Amino acid sequence: MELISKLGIDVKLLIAQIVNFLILLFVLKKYVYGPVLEKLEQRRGMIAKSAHDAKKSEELLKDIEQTRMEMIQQTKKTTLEMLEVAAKSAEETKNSIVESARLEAQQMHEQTKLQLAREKEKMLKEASDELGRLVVRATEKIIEREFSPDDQKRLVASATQEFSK
Amino acid sequence: MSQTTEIITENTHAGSAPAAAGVFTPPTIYSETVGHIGSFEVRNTWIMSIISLVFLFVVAWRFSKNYRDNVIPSGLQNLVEVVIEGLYNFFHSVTQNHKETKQFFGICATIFLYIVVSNWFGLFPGVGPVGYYEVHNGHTVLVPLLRSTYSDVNMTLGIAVISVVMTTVFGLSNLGAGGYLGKFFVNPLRDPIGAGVGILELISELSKIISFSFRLYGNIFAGEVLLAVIGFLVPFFAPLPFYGLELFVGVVQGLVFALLTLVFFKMGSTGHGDHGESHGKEGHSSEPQHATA
Repeated sequence: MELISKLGIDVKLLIAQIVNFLILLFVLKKYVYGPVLEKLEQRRGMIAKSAHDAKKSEELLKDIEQTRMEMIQQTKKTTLEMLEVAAKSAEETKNSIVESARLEAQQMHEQTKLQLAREKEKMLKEASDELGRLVVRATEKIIEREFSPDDQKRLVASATQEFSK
Repeated sequence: MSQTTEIITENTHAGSAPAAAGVFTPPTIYSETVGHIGSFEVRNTWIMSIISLVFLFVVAWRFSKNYRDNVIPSGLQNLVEVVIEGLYNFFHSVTQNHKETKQFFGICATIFLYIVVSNWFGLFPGVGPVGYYEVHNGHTVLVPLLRSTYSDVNMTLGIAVISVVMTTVFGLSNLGAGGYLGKFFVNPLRDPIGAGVGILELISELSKIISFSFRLYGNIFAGEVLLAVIGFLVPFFAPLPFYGLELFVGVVQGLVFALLTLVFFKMGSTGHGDHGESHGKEGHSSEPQHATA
């Protein structure tokens, strides 16, 4: 007991210290430890999430890149195919156009020939008709001018004579 | 303040204090009573402890103000965060178990902060030499108004009692009454050696209180005496390295107290029989937590 008195141990002070400590513990726990640890946890979660997201976006980017490459490849292939088809169809079209043009030209040629022939015939006929009329008219004129009334009479008479024969 | 004559500093050695002049008076091993509040003796170490508590409260208050809403913490908040996170990771490296770290964190961290802050506050100028002269057993002695908190057995004993009592509380809550008490009380007919060891464990549990309180008290009190001696011999410059040493000792003692408390908590919460098994289990359960952390 001498030890206790020499060290100045005082039960009230001891209890005061314990109570003070508990108050400090309560205050720090409520206002410091709790919020800090909570926030650290939050931050840890946030960082983990960001890392995860970054990884995911990287994968996504890779995926997109791959898809893009595939699509480009596909497009190239399709384009080539289409070009080939187009060239083939163009060739065909060209051939058919040429063929039909040739046919048409031939047809037209024939038709023209036919028409020309018909035209010529018609013209010939017309020309001969015209010529006949002209001959008649010229003959009439000649007859009117060259033949005097005596001649006419004589001619008429001879003609009549001839007819009457 | 019963026989107050005047407040005076030791360094000035005023003529009205004949006993102090030129004579080295070491700090007493007990804290001095400087006043009374009712029947409560106000000790100088108690005043210092209240100052450290107020300091910690102010820091906590300044810290918690709009802490939750701040995405980017300010200077003080950063500092507190660094300290708390450092302590948490340090304690976690001891327990290897997030549940236990969270459970033990409050008390261990508070012990650390309270001890370190108090020790550092005890190094302020004016703590120790400022006081009044009083006639004691025929000698005139300086009674310091302020004295480093843990240079008083009452203060260290208070923390030690909390540490040991909480070891028991955590042991009981984590192992159950049977599991925890089974470490100390073993049927001597079935296992006589175990029974003897149990008794020794019980004694060592009680002796922890003594070792805890005297380790901290001895270190801080020795620091006080050391600084007083050096300050008496060479008042200028020579004490500076020792002040640096005492700053260091202040942290180390806080760390030792907190860490020993943590280790005792951990040991108290680990069963006697299932030592290896629970270790294996903890190792298993802590691995995925590590991976996520």
